[in-house]
Amino acid sequence: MRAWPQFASLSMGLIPVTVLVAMVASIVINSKDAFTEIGVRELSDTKFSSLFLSGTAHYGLAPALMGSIELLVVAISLALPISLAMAIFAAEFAPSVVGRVMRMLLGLMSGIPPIIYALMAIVFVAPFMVPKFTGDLSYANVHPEKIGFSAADWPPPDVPWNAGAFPWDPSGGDNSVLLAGILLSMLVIPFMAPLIEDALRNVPSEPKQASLALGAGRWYTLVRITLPYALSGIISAVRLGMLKVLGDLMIALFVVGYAAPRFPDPPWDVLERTAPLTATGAGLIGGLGTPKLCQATDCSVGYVPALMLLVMAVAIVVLTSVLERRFRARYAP
Amino acid sequence: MSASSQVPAAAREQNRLSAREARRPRDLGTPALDRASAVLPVMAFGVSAVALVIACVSLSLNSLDPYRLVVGGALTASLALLVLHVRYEDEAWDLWAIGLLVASAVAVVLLARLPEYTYGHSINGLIHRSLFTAIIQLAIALPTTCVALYYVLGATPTARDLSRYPFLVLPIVLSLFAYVVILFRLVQKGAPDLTWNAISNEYSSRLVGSAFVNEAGMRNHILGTFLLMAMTALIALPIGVGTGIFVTEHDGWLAKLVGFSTSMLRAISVFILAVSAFSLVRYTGDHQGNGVLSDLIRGFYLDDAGFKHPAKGSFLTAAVFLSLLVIPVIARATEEGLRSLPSDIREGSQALGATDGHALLRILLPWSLPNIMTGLLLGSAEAAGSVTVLLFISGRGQYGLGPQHEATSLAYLIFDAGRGAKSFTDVMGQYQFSAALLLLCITFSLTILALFLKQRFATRYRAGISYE
Amino acid sequence: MAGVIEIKGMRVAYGATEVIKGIDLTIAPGTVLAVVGPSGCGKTTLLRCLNRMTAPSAKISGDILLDGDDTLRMDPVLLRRRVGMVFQKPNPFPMSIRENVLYGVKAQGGHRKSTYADIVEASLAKAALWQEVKGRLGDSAMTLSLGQQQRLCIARSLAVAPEVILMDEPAASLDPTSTAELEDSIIAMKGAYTVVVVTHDIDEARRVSDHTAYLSGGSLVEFGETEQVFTDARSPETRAYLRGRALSASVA
Repeated sequence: MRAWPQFASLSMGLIPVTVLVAMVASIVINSKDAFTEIGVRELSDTKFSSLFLSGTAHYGLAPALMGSIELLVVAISLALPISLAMAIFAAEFAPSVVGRVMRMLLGLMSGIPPIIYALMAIVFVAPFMVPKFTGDLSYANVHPEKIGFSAADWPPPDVPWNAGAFPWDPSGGDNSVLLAGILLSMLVIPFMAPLIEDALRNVPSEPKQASLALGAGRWYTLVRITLPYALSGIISAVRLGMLKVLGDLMIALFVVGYAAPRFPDPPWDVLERTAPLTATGAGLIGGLGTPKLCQATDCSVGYVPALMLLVMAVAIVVLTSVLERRFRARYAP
Repeated sequence: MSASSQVPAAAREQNRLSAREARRPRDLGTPALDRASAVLPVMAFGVSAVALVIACVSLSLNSLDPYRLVVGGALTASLALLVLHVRYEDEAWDLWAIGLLVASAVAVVLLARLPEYTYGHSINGLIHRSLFTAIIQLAIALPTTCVALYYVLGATPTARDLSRYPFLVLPIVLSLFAYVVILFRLVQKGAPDLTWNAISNEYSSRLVGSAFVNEAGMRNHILGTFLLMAMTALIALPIGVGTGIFVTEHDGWLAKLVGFSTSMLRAISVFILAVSAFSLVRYTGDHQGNGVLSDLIRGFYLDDAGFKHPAKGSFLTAAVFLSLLVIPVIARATEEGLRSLPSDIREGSQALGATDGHALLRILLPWSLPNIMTGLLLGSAEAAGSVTVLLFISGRGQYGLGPQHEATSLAYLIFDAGRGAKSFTDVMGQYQFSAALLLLCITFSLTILALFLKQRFATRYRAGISYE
Repeated sequence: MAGVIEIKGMRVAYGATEVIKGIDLTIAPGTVLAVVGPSGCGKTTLLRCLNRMTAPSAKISGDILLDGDDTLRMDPVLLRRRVGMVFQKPNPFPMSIRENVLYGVKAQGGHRKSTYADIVEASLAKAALWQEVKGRLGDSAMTLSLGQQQRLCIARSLAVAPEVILMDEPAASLDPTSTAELEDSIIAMKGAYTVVVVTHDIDEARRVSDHTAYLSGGSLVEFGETEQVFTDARSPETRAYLRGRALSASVA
């Protein structure tokens, strides 16, 4: 049978296709009940509370969506400049030895699984929250008065149920989207920086030489010539980063928790505890060691965040591919 | 009629002058003053650099709310900048320097009115005021340092390029420092508990409530991690290599479809994989009860009386879904390896009448082997560290290991030890950080091995047609 | 006396290999110098030393003076504002024609915006391109033919008012008509600019240049006025090279 390689590779190649289709189908089918029973109106509402916790069940997923978007914005706006700086430094300014060492270090860092970042979130809490030089990290230093409340008003009204952890234990109490975003950017930088560096190295040398020959300095050449040529590569790096941030569960879970109780007010408030779609979905499906947030044995609502994530991922891929193609055509080497 | 062909003499003259002398400082009248003011750039650089360092320290250590002190540094730095510009006749920049000064003053006022802590609506997150101060300080001191450096280096165009170094180096140093802090603290917290007992003992439910908490260990989880990695590799390798070969060696819509879905498997989040795994298990549970399929997919365990109970998910299911994560990595690596094969070798073997299968086994695969190995190693590292996919289908591994037993892994232990039921965390909570440290060691060794392989075989491509 | 290049005892080495072995040469201002020689003789290296665009690993010793200024110790960016370069393959930027011409001007700064239009027109006119593109300055430079692109590159270099223009086989990628237009623009530059042209086409060298330098194996074998070198060269090697190339050109 001379054609056995074709047959073998074809059958192997069809597996990802069928699996992908099956997965998408299962999510769509499973979430169908949620749409029929609960309805799109409530699902896009901003109220979210579980039967178990507060007696009434509202499954508004808008806070979760906002959480995902906020995380994306914070993580990428931190990761992109730092990755750009690393890539520019390694590709254009540093001696090649330094560039190689950096590349290896980044390769190593990219092997750190997200759960480790999640676990170590705590080491980043103290720098933001509590001054160290004023004394010990104890309750006495983090007093309600310093925050603007009088002790009698504490805890402030409509604070979610687990906020009792703070402020009486400052070493354990940061649940903000900001912290999660910082950790996510640390997760994503080792993936983005080498891609951007490759894009910079692949810029054709003729325009760069022409620019230098005209008396433009290296920085001017970098900004006006090299970066525009590398733009399509940068966009694909950003796409990878965005997909990783969108789909992350562990960091969000450990830092922010798994329920977005309210829509952040004001919407850009990143110091809020707004769980993203992944964490909310995990909370609805259960298995986190705490009672799951929806009460039927098989709640269809749990699949709706997954569906939304799928749609968002596809949208990101499509949009960035369009942009990438446009820039690649314009700056074809 | 075109313009005259006379070269603009004035422009030429300007070029020649600027080539001879860099920025010439304004004449201050007395030679003593001139000499004294020659030291101005260095002073300005010193002040800005100190302000920058204070800002970085403040960012990472969070000092005693010295916002007045720190912003004072910003003010001084921008004043130095203004003096530099005035001194060096750089009128275009004066506005910029004045703006910086005004911005610093505004920042002081705003910071004075900010409460010591800024918090979200429900006080879930807190930021100390000195963080804002540090950031403002950084934003002002960094450009000032760069500009002062420009003047120190002689104010030539090359000096302008060199003076951008701090701009690039600072984010790199700060972020590398952040990674180092994480790793260091992980070792600090995890190493003490990483005893031989911890590795060789195993967790079992009879330890719950027992006084012999130090009898518990991570053995099952460690072995579970290796079992998962092995099973995932076994499944993902043939499929990944096959897919890679198919995409590279064939053209047409089917190949493109396969390539697209392989990369989409990677693009959709691990969470979706986890949800699919969960729905598969649940579907089996609902419809298959206690049949063979349930054993395969959900796993089972035997309780003390010997009765069979379905588990949350078997190693087999976990390995299958983890391999979905790893297949695209291996496929991509195979693709790269195949594409790098010089076309003359490929055509040569075809000219000699080799069949496709022969070419595949003897030429294509051996050539791509380093790439495939690298992909496999990196994929295995990812499989070892993945928690999300396993989240809904893993357990504590207390009943042993095998394809049909309940899945568990070191990564899952990290999650469970913090978030699991109290009975579990009481016994195993102590191992959260040591499990993380162990996992990191495993992942790092795999990654280092993969990087080493890449390095070793990279020369092959650089030289073009030299085959090792 | 603007645009005098004096090369004294220049040596260039890449690692252990010496590529240029001691050259002494003076290029008179406002003239065109053609540099010819067999492949690998160091012509391009010599050219690139004049505007310090050699590979970073090159070690240059000796003196290269531009109007008495030491170019090897000068800031290279400032040097390149006085010495422009046109490359073998036309490499316009993916911008509009106007932006291409103004690129160097904007990069250096110090010019008022009101003069931009004049600079564009003057530079394109000097490169013999103005008539062809004056109606579509906003079009992308990539829409021009290769010959027009090369002249655009010349205009781009002229816009920053250099004293010297270096050309590395400028007509190599062009068809005969565009080559002729290119040579016309080079001849038009005489008197106002010092031009150094490296070329394989010795007929072009003869047509265009005032002086010719013949390089072989990194050494300057012959240098003199073009007609003199072509009709009665001192060195037999030069004569053989010129005759051989002329022979092959006429046979082909």
